[in-house]
Amino acid sequence: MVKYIVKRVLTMIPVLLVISMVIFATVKAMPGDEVTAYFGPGARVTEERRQEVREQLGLDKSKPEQYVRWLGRFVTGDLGQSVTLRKPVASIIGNYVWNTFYLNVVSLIVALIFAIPIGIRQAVKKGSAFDNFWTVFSLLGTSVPTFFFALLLIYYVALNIPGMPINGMRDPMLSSFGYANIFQEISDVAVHSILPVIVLAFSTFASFSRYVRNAMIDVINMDYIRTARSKGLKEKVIIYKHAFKNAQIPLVTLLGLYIPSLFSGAVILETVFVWPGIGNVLINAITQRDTSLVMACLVFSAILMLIGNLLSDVCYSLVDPRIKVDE
Amino acid sequence: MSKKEEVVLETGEKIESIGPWRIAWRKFCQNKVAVAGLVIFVLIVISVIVVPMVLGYSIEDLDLTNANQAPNAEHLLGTDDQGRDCLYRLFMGGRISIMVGLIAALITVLLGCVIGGISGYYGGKVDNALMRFCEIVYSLPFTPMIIAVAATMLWVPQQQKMYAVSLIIGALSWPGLARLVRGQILALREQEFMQACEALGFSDFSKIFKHLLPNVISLVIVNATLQMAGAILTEAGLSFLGMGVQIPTPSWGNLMNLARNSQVFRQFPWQWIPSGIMCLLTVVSINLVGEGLRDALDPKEIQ
Repeated sequence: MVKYIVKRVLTMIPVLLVISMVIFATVKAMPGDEVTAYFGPGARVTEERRQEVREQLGLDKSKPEQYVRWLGRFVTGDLGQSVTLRKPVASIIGNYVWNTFYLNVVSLIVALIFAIPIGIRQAVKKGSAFDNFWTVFSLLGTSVPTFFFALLLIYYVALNIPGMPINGMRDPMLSSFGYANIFQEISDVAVHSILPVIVLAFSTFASFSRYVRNAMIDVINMDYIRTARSKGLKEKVIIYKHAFKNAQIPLVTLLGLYIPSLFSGAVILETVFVWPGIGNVLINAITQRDTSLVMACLVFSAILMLIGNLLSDVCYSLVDPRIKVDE
Repeated sequence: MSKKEEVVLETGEKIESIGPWRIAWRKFCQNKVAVAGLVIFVLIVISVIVVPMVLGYSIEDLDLTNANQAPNAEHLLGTDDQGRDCLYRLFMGGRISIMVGLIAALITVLLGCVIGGISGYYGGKVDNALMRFCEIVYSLPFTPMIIAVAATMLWVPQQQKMYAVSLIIGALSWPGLARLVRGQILALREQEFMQACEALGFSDFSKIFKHLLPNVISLVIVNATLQMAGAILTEAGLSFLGMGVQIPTPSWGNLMNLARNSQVFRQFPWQWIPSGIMCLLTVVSINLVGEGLRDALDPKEIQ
């Protein structure tokens, strides 16, 4: 197993190298330049000063040379400076990624709490009104643009509840003057999380409940379940102990694939709720042409994608001993 | 597809022989939910073609004296900040959004079939190289990458923006389909009919595109349908951020973008809610059709 993981990680390196080239080329192809981003739009700066900054940022070099310099720094762990926020990129990502992670983990947990029991019941009562209702419900979850659902929720629900925050993660007054105690901080963040968690959990629920349902249907039709029934086992034991154990296999694969997106987040949704997460940072960086920040965010997401694929293969073989990844 | 073939048995009895497409169609028709999806989708397509023609406005029409009007007899869905008719823009936007979905799905299918087909047929080094390429595109973070590439496309004129958007979505969506096609072709290549093709001296091109790919058509159709639904959602997201289709050309995404202005959001809901509902309805109907097709075309379930 260790040998397999090492091998997979090694093959990731060339793939990642090409990906970083593609991302670099894309970022450099964006119109507008970093020097303007450095001074902010519309700033009056002398040409000499501009030239100075251009050289300082290494923009006077050719594009391939710039890439090699970026790569050299990247390998040593230096992600560069953000020209708009004037801070090291690594510390920006380090700060914001946990806000994204928090939002996604809470949503995932909420989604799973509902998706697993509902998916199982749907499979057991396949074709019933219960099954049909949740099938339609999850179809809506996968078909609605998440930001539209978010907007509807704000418009029809949140605006009618006095004191319901509709954006941000903390109350600006409270967080700038400091919280009185930890409980105040927790409840503040919790109240701000309600809407984004509902929206994210809804779309996550949709895909997971379908998965659970389909996996359970496959398992319930198997011979060993019939054997368990004919043995006279209780239906509860059959479903939750015998059947669900095998239905976990595809579920775990999906979860493995899902883990990286816990960090990279829902870009558009974060914009709607002005959630201070990595997706919001990325959008701002793209619109302001903050090259090193965009590069870092995109490469970070790509690395997570690759790790997610590996993780899901590894999880697969851990849950299902019949599958050997080494071969 | 709908051609009836009659087979005359030795006894002189005539029976109707039905092909796989007919079986699939019958099964699809038995699935009420899928048929409902198809009907809704067809109605939406007809309405986005007909309604703008009936209303007879144009995208460039402005009427600043009648800006931000609530729905009334003359403007059934009210007007926007430039006094443009919202009903017209809703259906015109639908044309654009559905077109984007269609073109993006076509590009995905084209790239997926060609790359998957070649990869599966030739195997070996070609397969290795193409699958590595596939892995690279697959590992690009989808939404962030689409946004980043769209940001490089600022030079594309406003009228052509929708094609650029479709191209970006299509160009980043094909790896999934390519892998599926490759897997199927890999298995099909070993079957006897391929030996017959070999013996008849067909070219590689005709072997791949005339003899192998038609065998995976059901897989491709189902995938294309779901891909189209996904592309419509992606376009909506991109245009919502203001990086996709640009005004004055409407699309469901950039109509919803109006909601980012807090005055429009709170006071003029008729400007953004209908486009979201239409978008949802369209994507639901396409997904229903896609799932209906999946069940209908699944050879395991032939009755």
